[in-house]
Amino acid sequence: MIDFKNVTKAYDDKIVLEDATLHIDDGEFVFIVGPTGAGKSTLIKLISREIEPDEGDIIVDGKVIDDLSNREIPAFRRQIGMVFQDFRLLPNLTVYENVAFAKEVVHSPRKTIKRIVPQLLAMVDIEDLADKFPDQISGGEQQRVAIARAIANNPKYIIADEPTGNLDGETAWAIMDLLAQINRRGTTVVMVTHAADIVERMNRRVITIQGGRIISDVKGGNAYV
Amino acid sequence: MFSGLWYSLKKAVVQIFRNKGMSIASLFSITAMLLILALFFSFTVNVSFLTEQVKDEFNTIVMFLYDGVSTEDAYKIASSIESMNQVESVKYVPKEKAMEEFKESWGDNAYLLDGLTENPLPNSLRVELSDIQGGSLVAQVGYGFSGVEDVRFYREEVDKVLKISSVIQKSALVVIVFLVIVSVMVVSNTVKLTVLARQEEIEIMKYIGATNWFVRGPMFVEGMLIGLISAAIALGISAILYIKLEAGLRTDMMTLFATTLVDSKFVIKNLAWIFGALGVSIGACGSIISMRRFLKV
Repeated sequence: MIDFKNVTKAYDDKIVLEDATLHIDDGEFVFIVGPTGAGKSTLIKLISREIEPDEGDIIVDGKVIDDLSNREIPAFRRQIGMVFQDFRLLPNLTVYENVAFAKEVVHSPRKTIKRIVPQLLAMVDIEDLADKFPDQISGGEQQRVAIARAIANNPKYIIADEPTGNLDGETAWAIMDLLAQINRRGTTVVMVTHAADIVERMNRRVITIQGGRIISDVKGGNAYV
Repeated sequence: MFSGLWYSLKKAVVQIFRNKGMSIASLFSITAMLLILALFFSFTVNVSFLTEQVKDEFNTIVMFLYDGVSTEDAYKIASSIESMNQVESVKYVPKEKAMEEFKESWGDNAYLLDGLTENPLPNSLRVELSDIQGGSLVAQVGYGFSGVEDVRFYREEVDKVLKISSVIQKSALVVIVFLVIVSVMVVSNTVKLTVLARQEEIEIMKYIGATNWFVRGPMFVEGMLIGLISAAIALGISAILYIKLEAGLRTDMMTLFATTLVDSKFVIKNLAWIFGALGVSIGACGSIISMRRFLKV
């Protein structure tokens, strides 16, 4: 569960998120939409504890994450799989190593890594790209690697920041299928997007942010303003 | 802990090979500065060594006594000079002994001296100095005794050598300090560039939930490895050059200074320690310092 309780965040004097309250249940698939600069990215940065709120509390799994010490942050982040618009793969590591890295971070034994990583690559349908470097594969393929990495440690949450933003229509849908599939297995997915057609066709819960405020929160359909 | 070290080492080696450009750049800058350091180090060591040699050779003062001074009085003068701090020992050399030594130094031509009916050499005191700087003072005290006719020591020569060597040593020290500062700056800039190029990488690792040490470990080991490799290369090059130089200069040095260059084993051993310590700490500190500000994600 992710809870925002009257969260306000400002940079200098500019308020980017104001008095935001929301509740996301386990297993939900939630879109966060709104115009550029509305505060969507701030919301995501708050959940991943990259930034801290000025006011209010953010509670993930019953734990107020503002209270986390710097030492606790890495362990906290391991239960969140992050997917970004620009993929953010490690450029000097191969596809295989990029996914394996997420397992190494949690000190998985080598044997487990060798067993799990090929399974993950197969799941996102890129097992034949294992030895390629990120700059040798397409955007869609890179995003698949990023998703495989995000789910490597069976996180409870997937936070996706415009995961289809850099992809063409068909590739974007393939990625959406993957995310939906991951969601069906019980993982909560929170996805920030600009893509109205995707939001419409997916028919899930939609939270709309504008000017730093949550202006609508509806189950199903298209609330894109 | 051990598996963590092993992990870091493996990752570091892979990174060094994949980031060839940066690795080679850092390698070259560290090696270059260590080589220049080696140059000044061997130069300074040799100057100090030569100075010591010169000091040893010229640390004797000879005081000639008047003919009328009795052996008893000579010993009195000797013991009062010996009590000075700057004096190591004093030896009374009677004129007969002096003549013997004189003949010895003439070798085969000594028979020429047999014609002398009278020994023209004076009785003398041979003063070994413990501190060559005190030479002038001891000489002055010597002149103060009424029984001393003349004092001879190589003051000017010794002063000159001492002055030159102290200037050389001081300037070499300045150059070495300067070099270390410059090289630390160069290396830390190289590392900063490397880290800057990796800033995104570090951020990504932190997003995935890597701890600071998980990110830092391999980079730390990478810096140390590059430092060590540079040290090894620099040591190899300077060892070869020094051994060649020592062999090449042996005869010239012998005739000029009656000594050779400082033993290559001594120089190389010390360079190995200096290089090892410098290389590793420059590499390691460089990576830690320049990484610090990028770890705050």
